[in-house]
Amino acid sequence: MEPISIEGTQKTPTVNFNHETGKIEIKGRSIPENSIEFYKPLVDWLEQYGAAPQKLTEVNVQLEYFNTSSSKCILDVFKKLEAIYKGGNEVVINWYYEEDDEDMLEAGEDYQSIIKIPFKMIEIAE
Amino acid sequence: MGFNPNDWYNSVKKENTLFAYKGAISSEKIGTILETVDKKLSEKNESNKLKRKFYNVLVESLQNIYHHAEPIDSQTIEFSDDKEMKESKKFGMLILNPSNVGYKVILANFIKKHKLQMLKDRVDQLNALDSEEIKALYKLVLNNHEFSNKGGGGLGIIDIVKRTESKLEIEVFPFNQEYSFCSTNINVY
Repeated sequence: MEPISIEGTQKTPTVNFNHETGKIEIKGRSIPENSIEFYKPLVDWLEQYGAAPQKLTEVNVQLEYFNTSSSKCILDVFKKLEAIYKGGNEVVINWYYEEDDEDMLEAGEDYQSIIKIPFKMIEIAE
Repeated sequence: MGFNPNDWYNSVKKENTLFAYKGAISSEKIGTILETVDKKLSEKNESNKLKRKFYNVLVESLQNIYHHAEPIDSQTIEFSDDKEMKESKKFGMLILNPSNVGYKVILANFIKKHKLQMLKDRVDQLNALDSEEIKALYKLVLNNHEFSNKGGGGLGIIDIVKRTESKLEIEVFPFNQEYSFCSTNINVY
């Protein structure tokens, strides 16, 4: 399978999905009007990756902003990862947030309570 | 003559208004508005926290108009001098006024009369919840699998109330037989 490498824009995040390293990265802003269109290929990629994942899949999510339609799509991404985790593979989600951004921390905690994968909340200095 | 949206806009706009816009709400325009407001808040040395809150509230509210506002008919559009309106048909007004505690975000758009009660009920329902209940509702809606065909998922308005921790105020003005004009006030501080 091919890796995904998408450069970020004013409204969409930088995305790097690599099946060889097992590293999954979503970074930047995610506020597109049509989130489903943006996230569908990512969810499909994970579906395919899930058939033969790496022993450890490391997920790094570092979002500055995301809109509510992205929030549903991000949950879909996490659900695919949860299926990989439940299949007996190691998955770790690193959720980055800026030190005074309580809302972003809380958003990560919301996902953590829904998705049964170990989350690590990582504070970054502004 | 009945209610005139232009007169309303001019009356809400004050000398100290931070930002005001009326016209087409397109994807591109949303990007420009976000950038301009962010710049203006930086010029005022507002905190990152406030800027973030603003950004989120504006994204959700403008995209709400973008996705859900009725495309208004040419007769209704006539009052607007915005050329883009003929294409977009999604119309909105946005005014940011300083308030005692922070800012008042005033958004206005047309709504079909038969949808008014639904909107009012929704706002009343959200305003009746405390912040813990709003957070719980957000999580519940986030995790239900339904997605509207426009991709909104119904979370936008809940997110605004959750982030601002203030009650929504709406005002409705009759416009013509089909449409009412509705303004929503959101306090951001």
